[in-house]
Amino acid sequence: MKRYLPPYLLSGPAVIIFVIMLAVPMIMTFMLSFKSFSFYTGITPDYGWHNYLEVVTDSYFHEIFFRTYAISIGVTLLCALIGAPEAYILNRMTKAWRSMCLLAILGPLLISVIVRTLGWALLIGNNGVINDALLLLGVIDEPLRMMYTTQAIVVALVHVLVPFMVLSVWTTLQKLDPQVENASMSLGASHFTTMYRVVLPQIMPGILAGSLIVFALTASAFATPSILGGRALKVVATTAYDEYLNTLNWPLGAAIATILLIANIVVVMSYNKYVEHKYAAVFD
Amino acid sequence: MSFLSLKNVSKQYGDSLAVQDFNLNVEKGEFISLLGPSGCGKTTTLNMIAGFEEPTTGTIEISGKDMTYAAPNTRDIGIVFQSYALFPHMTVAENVGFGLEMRRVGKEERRQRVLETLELVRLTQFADRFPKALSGGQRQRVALARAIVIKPQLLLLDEPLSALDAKIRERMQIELRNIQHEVGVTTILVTHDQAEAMAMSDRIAVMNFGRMARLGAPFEIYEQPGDLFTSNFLGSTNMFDGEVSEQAGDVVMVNCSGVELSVQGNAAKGSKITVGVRPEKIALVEAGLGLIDAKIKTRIFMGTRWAYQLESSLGTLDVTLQNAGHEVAGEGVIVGVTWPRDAIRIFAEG
Repeated sequence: MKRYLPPYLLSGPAVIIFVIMLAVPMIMTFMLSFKSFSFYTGITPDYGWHNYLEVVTDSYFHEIFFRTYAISIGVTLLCALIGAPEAYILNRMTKAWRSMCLLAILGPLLISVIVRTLGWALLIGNNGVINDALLLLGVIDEPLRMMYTTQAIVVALVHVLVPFMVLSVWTTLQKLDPQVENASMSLGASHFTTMYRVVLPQIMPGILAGSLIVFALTASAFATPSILGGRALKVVATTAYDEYLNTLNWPLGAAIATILLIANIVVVMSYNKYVEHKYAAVFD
Repeated sequence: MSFLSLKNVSKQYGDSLAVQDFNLNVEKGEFISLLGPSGCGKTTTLNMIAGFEEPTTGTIEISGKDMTYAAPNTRDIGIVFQSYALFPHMTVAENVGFGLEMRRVGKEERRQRVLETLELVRLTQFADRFPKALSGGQRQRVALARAIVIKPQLLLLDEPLSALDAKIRERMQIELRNIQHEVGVTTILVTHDQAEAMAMSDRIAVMNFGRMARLGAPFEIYEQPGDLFTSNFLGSTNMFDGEVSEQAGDVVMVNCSGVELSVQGNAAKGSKITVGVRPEKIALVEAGLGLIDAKIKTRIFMGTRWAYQLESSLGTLDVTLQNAGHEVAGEGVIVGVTWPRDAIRIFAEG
């Protein structure tokens, strides 16, 4: 056997699966997005940019894209605000407590997103646990509308995605020299200044990496927005789904999916470049 | 009134006592080492002085003020950590300037003082680099600059040289000592390296099992270690167990495995004692002319000296001889062994 063959043979099966399962469907979706659709003729192969033009010019889609990215930014910020301190506290705990808390944080990842989201629906629905309890206590006279709101989507997504932020920040915290906080204190800094000037800048790469994961997962999230947002609050992923399965306009759905993919890639890549550029001189 | 004084300081972790009943008085400008094996409580003691840990009992006073429970950021202490603990996201100048910034020193003065201190540690041209781009020795000097730029009343060094390789370490010892003299700051060094402690300190506090074993100037405690632990920790010692067979004035005769040794000191006749002599105090002479005869088992050339292991009726003897530039007796040769009578010491318990 030739010298250079084994690497190709060894990686071959994975490459074939990757091509069949990911590359082919993606290319087909991409091709599909240029086809046409009408209710009488179905999908016809007259290629053109019309689907993309429709998405770019229609304010209906603008609103959906805007909502998607607003939710993504909100969820990312909340995850950073909750996850970073959580990871810091976790890191300072004793071993026994840390394992228990880690389990609590990572636990949700073991449950299917659908089940978890339906759990939220049970909790916040008009006849849900929270509303029933508040009505019973006489705090409110009629149920609060929590289902089908942007806030509901954000809260549920934060719940799902915060573990990714915690893990990401925790990884950088482990590289943090525990003595730097003492060093800062001995130089006269208060606890707050130590946090803000010494600890935070050092775990920033972790927060930024975590943000990237959370942002990308939120922008392409489907299950949670579709259950808690319903038809009223569409995001890009649910819109693409509806185009495919309800209006049966597959080409338009494909165009929406393609735009979402490209937008996500652009955001992720430029963000990554920015982070790398910013921290290359400082960290290994 | 001492500048820093630790009075009956103890620190307990659960059931174990890390530091027991520790007393230490440090004068202003003095360089003191806390020397001991790992786990002897020296770092715990340092952490209590720094304020990172609170003593279970006892008090710590700094220039007459009780600082036992004061927060670390109010103690005005400069610390060089074993890992250096530099701030990786700040440049060398920002690292060094951090303490001044916390003290709200004005920008212009801050720049000036950072520059002066960097000059002192010879790092001026590295001011704008990040710690990542520096060598171990340079990082060490940044850590030192950061600790002394605030002109602290007390400088604590926690194994500051242990991460450096041997050559740089020796150079840094001298450099550290010189800088300490120049700045005149009271300094406490924690180390497990006896050579480092002896090279740098005015006084050494030898610690063992959380207690102070011996306190004194390096030469003094090396020559009169007082107990076996200190003696062995500061250098190697040939130990012989024996029984006092005769006592006359301040000289006793000790019978060690059949050999009568005359030793200066006091011990009751019939008591079992241990005596010891350091390898470099022993001289080799012609067979028959020494106190006892011994056979050379191994001879190792170390450059500045020869290291011997001899077989004798006293057991194995370690001997080091200065390399005087000519060949010395080789392996297998029978030689006489002798030492000055005041070189052999009594260690109390047998």
